[in-house]
Amino acid sequence: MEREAMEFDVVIVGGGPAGLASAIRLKQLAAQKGSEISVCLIEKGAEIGAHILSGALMDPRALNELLPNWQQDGAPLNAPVSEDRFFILSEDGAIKIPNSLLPKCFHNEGNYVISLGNVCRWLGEQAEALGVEIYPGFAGAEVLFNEDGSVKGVATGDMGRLHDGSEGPNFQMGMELLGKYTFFAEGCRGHLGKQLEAKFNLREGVDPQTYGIGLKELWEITPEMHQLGLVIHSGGWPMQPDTYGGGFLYHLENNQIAVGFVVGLGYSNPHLSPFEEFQRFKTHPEIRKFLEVARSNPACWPLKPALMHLPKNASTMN
Amino acid sequence: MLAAEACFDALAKECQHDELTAYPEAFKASWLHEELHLSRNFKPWMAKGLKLGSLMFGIDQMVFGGKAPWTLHNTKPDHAKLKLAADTQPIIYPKPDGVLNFDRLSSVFLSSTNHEEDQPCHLQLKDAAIPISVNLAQYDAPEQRFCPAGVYEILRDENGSNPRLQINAQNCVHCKTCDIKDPSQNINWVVPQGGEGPTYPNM
Repeated sequence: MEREAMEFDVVIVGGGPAGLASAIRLKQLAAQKGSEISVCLIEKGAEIGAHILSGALMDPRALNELLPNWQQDGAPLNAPVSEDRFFILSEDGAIKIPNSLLPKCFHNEGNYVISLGNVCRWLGEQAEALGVEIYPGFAGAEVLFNEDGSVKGVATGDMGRLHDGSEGPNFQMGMELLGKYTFFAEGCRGHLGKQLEAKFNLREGVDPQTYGIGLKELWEITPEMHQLGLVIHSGGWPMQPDTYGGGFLYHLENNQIAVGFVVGLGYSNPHLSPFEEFQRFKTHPEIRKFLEVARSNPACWPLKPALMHLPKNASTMN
Repeated sequence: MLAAEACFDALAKECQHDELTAYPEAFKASWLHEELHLSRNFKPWMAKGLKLGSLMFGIDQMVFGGKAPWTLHNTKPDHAKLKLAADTQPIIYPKPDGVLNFDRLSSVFLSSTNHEEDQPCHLQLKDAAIPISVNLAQYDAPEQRFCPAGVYEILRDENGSNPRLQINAQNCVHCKTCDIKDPSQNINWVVPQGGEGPTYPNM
């Protein structure tokens, strides 16, 4: 049986900020120039935003360039940063580093505390309104190549295969999505990106990528302890000084706080457990004082890479 | 956005399936590149330890404004940085109290992750023997700990013999830490069926 194929000008794999921003920009440019362009975006999560997890603090600079009317159009950037605090923690103490001593990248004036999942949902609505065809629930499973070795598109995964790989009663074959250009916006460890890096030697001459795992929980706290836009970062305890990582606690709207912890995956002690470092972090007096009421939705996500680890043609929202 | 602009120009010239060289050029000329360039030494300095890292990144930023004449390089991938279990100190973590801190499975439950169990496992082992012969023997099976979702479990017989790895793929939250950190690079993360994985409402 042949797979069904559909053709587009551009196929985008991944409905995160990078994939959605590129889809929106393509449609905007076509509208400006009065040309037609077909853009298809697939997302493995059940809906746009379902697999998105981030701290998150957002500098609106790129959004100002992409969608300058974002405020009127209801983008969910509702918590402007009101204060930055940085602590070096010990087991029961905390030293606050004066803000005048903090490097620029720890100053968040002008940024917003956001849910990146909600920002992506909003970007998805903007993209659809511009005519991007968005297919959530479809995973890019395979890169398709032309005879000359160039990328032809992607195939979505089959549904309903059984454990041994045979076709079950609900079997549905994947589809071929063919594009004049294909964008891989899978995130920092895309499984198709990994294959492309190997096939086209995209990591030649650049440093090995470093990664981090972040864990985060959303808590609703008592209004007396809540300060909209308060941003706290920490280094030190509970991790050993030779291990890269740190904590964060951001105050969102509706008395919510996002509390989380990041561990650099370059750690050396195989006994380390990032999940349990995070759980221990929450017991610090400077953190636990905020955590008074019921929680919801903890989770984990991989962090975005730093500059010199970007592979060739890496995608970002910009 | 920059990729989209490069792509749009290429399509206007009726190009297809070629390398968008205008994209990396535009990226290098962008404010994003400049911003990332200024803080490029943060992680490499911090990898040298909290105190030295803070001091040196402070000098890098405060004295040189991010334009220091050095760029620190990372030479080893993350998976190659694990030491042997025998050469490192075990870490004793407190038990979850269910109020402030929790166990893996209750956290996985809150992520609403879901996978059809009867499908090919999306966490593929290149060599089925390595989890025991290498990872358990040398590193005390670190996948039990670096996976935040309890996907990897070492099971044993009642007398403690016959260790084997069980992969609870339905718990996976798609963080890909196993693909990155497995010291043997024996785990290959591939996509499960579309629409599966976590369902975060507002993360």
